[in-house]
Amino acid sequence: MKLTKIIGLASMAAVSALAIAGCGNKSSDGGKVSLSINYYNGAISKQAIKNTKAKFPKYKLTFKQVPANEDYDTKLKASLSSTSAPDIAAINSNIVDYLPYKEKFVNLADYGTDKVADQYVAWKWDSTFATKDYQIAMPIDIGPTAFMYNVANFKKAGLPTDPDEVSAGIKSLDGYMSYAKQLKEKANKPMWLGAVALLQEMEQKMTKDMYSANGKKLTLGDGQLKDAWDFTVKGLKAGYMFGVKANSSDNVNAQQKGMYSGMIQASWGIADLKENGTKNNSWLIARAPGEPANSGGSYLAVIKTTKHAKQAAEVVKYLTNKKNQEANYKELALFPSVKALYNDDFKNVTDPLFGDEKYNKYFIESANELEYTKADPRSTAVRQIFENQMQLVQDSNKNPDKAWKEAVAKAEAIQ
Amino acid sequence: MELQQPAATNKEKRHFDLDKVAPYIAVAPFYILFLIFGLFPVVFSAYLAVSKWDGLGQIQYLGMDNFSRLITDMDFWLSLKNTLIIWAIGTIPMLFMALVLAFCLNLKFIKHKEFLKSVLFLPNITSVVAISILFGLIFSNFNGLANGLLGVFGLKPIKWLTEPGWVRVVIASVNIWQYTGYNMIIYLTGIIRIPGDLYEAARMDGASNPQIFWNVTIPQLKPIILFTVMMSTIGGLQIFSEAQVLVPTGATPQGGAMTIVYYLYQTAFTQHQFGYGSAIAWGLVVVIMFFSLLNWFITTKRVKGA
Repeated sequence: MKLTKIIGLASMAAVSALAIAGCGNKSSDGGKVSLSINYYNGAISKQAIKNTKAKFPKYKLTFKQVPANEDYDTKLKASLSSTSAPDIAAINSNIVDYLPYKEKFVNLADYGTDKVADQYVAWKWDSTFATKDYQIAMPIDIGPTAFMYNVANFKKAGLPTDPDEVSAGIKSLDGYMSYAKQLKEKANKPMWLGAVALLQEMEQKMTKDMYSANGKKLTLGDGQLKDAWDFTVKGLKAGYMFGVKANSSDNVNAQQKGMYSGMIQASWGIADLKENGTKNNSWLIARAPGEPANSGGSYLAVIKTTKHAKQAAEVVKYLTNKKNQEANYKELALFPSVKALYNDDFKNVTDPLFGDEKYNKYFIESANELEYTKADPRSTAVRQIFENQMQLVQDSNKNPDKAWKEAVAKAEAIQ
Repeated sequence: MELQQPAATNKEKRHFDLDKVAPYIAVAPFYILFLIFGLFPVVFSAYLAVSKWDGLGQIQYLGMDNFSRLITDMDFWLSLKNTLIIWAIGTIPMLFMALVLAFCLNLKFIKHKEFLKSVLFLPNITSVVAISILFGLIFSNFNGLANGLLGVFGLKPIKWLTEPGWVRVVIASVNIWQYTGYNMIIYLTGIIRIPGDLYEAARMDGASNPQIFWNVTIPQLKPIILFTVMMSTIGGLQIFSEAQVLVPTGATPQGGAMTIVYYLYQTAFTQHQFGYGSAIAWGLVVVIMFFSLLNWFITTKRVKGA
């Protein structure tokens, strides 16, 4: 890609957002209220869209699906700065980036969302509030995590293969590390995909943010990040890493052939395992070790420039309700944020990939136990800095202490 | 008074001269697109380079802060180093190969020239993303074709995409594969224009093909070679897609895969620091200008010397 193209991206995004929004923003169409909804691939199911169109026959609803990549945020941000944007837009798990700009969004708390608040898992619900009574979005799905392990490797190392036994064995992080040790010693198989993958697992378990509550001080979770770092370095130096990146063709191969043995994944990781062509019963799911964690999950927001805030809020409330979250789960395996859906049917779900294992209970436990940590928008960038340094520790044999110090210095330089 | 005003404009309108206006209308589609997608981003990025902006909030004026940060930013200099290394190991062999191929294609005994030209040019019109994905599979650390071949010869596998030294080679090789054919076509055009009697005279004196290549073709092609070097420098300094597709995550300046444009892309579009990203872009402009001036200096000196 040429440089000029890069420079042009932002303005092109702005122009295209204008063009896209222009179509849907017309205030009325023969008296009909017209609403445009922009979402990325896999955020809303076809059935949920169908339900919504049937529910609001008086509105002209235009759903626009766009690719789920980095450009989505660039385009959404560009459209927020313009005078015309879609009425409703999906926001990804990086909702913290948008909280400081609450004035760009309709306060959904004005439209009676408090009446449904207790239906949703509390930590996800809380993450939609910019301030105590300003809610910028409604939750769609969540990404509670569980531990997925390769059965053949565990068997070879003489480790238990029953999910409940594995869950008990790796309950603490020490137990987690001891499993890695046994895999290396008895089966000569690495436990983890790579140092960055493990560091990310550990970062997700942090219960404190990278910055102090007032955002003035870089706290790195009061030592929690250092613990995550040290745990990863320990695993790396002991030789428990396969040494490959996630999102690579090598990882696809590695999952198929069991070249590494375990990973903490969100519920949507099941779809990845399937897509990567792993055989039935080759991987199973257990409770993840240590603190519960979440990875991913979308939201729906009403953009302030809409001419029909009330109607848009109604649509958002409907699209994120129990019925549509159930449809999303059935069609796209999006883990619901509505607690009432964690019923017996849901707990008894099985998948041929995991034989007759009723694995949802592990995800549900994680979802129920999670607590909300308000994150600073800069925290993602901080994590990225440490992950990049960890990559160098793994690939270029960089001294871990030196890498840590450099990462801290870089994190402190973030404005 | 009120009545005279529209009358005056009407009179002016009658003087509307289509012949004078038509050329402007004819070039308007280009100029309108250029103003929106060319000039505006350039001017706007200059404004952003002295500001702080996350893409959503207010644009804050910072003065020269971004540039003083840029000068002390090791990541920027390491990215520049990576870019220059990738450029050197990519461009030099590529231009040489293109030259040899062009020379061979011009030899009398080669048949199916048009077919060969098309085939060799084909990589240039293939999507760079598709090519990079293919190269990513070939140079995969574990089951890649490259490591498979090394295995056949009993050599140890190489971590192509994670070793700082090798990842630059892989990125450069994508560039070589894509641009050899393009430069070959340019050289071929140049070679065809070399007067035939020079070759004839050389052959009469008993020169072999390699001798003709070194002593007739290359000296005659000097201006064209300098042109391709200059174009490849400008292109090579902007290398991005190859690196981004081959190393989509965890690319670092120290790890070898981070080029300047990749660094700028990451700063602006992943971390949403549009101000500093623009400053990096202008840093790159300075670097490209430096190399263009260097090229220009060498070219004019050569011309004077000749």
